[in-house]
Amino acid sequence: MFQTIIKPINIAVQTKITNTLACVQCVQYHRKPRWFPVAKSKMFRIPERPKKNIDEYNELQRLHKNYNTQVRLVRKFIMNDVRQKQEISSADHVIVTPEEQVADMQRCAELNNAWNASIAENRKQRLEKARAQKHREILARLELKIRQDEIARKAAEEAVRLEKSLAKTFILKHNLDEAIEYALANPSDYNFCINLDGEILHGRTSTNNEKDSAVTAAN
Amino acid sequence: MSKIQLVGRTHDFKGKTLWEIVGNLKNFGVGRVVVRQMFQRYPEPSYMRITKVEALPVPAEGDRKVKVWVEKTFRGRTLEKLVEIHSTSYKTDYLLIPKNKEAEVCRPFKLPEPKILPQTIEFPPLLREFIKKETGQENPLLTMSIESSREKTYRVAKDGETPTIQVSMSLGQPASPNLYKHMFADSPK
Repeated sequence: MFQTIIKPINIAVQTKITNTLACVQCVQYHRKPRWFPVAKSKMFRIPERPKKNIDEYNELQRLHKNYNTQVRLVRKFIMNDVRQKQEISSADHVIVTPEEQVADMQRCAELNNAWNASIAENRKQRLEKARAQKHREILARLELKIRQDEIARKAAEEAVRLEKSLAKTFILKHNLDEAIEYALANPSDYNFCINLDGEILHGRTSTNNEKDSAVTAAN
Repeated sequence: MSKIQLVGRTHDFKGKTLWEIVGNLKNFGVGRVVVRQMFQRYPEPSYMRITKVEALPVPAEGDRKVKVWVEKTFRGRTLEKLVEIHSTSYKTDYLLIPKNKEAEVCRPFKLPEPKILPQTIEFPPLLREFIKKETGQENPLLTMSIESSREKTYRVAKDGETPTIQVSMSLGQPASPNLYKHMFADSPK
């Protein structure tokens, strides 16, 4: 996979810097982070302590001290210079008369008022639009409510009608005896069996199939 | 006996933490002399005489610290006030000086004259040209100033004094002329 990626790059590099190829060096991309453990190959390596050349050390110390002193002094000089120039010059603070101040204030106020007016106009339009939208939404909700109420009323009427039709067959106190009589006179038997021809034979005890089936149908 | 070779990271410290020393001494080592091994690189005597010790609780981890007040002598100069050692007491760089060696370590030392820096030094070349053009001065000079510090052994020259150190924008007087002997035919001797 790497080869496929790297190959075109290599070709490009080769074609581009053929003449300077000798100057290309492969460097390590990054160092091993500090918190990584020591490499196994370097675990028992004893690094040599750096030896200080005292002459070099003294000379470097002198040069560093010199350099630090010089830079510090130059910095201080420039800081003082800038501070002095700021104190003397009036470039950064513009002097204005009271009339100019008032005129400036007036101009600012006018600008501000115009700005406010335009924003107010925008706001008015936006609020009107929102109000109309709200009105439409409320109307739609009302209509929906009416429709839903109508549907609910119809469903209720249907339920009442069904109950009323069922109420005709209810067994009440006054026709309880009749109902018992009728039930005793006409026992129902829902048992049946099927013979090899697929014929249904109703009743468990009765042998009179036709009569039983007639009774069942009547019930 | 086989030789023991230590492996791993190295540092320049050599010695014990301050608590390891004072915790094992009678009266916590008040009156005794300790030195920092790192500061023995200076030729002048540097040592500390313990005057007061305050033990601290053992921390959950890390080296134990201790508060110690010392009379500090650094590079031959004894500081006027007592110095409190606390935040650096964990460093494993303290050495206890045996009583028979104290006189040798705490030897009297005559302080050399402080180094004297010039009152003014020359500007860097380009800046000097700018200033010449702007102000018309023939030879503008930078005023010397140094930060005051406890350990400073140098000062700016007073009026009429001859500075003992030259600070110049050029190479200056090398501390080790032999480093330059191959570079210049007329190297400073």
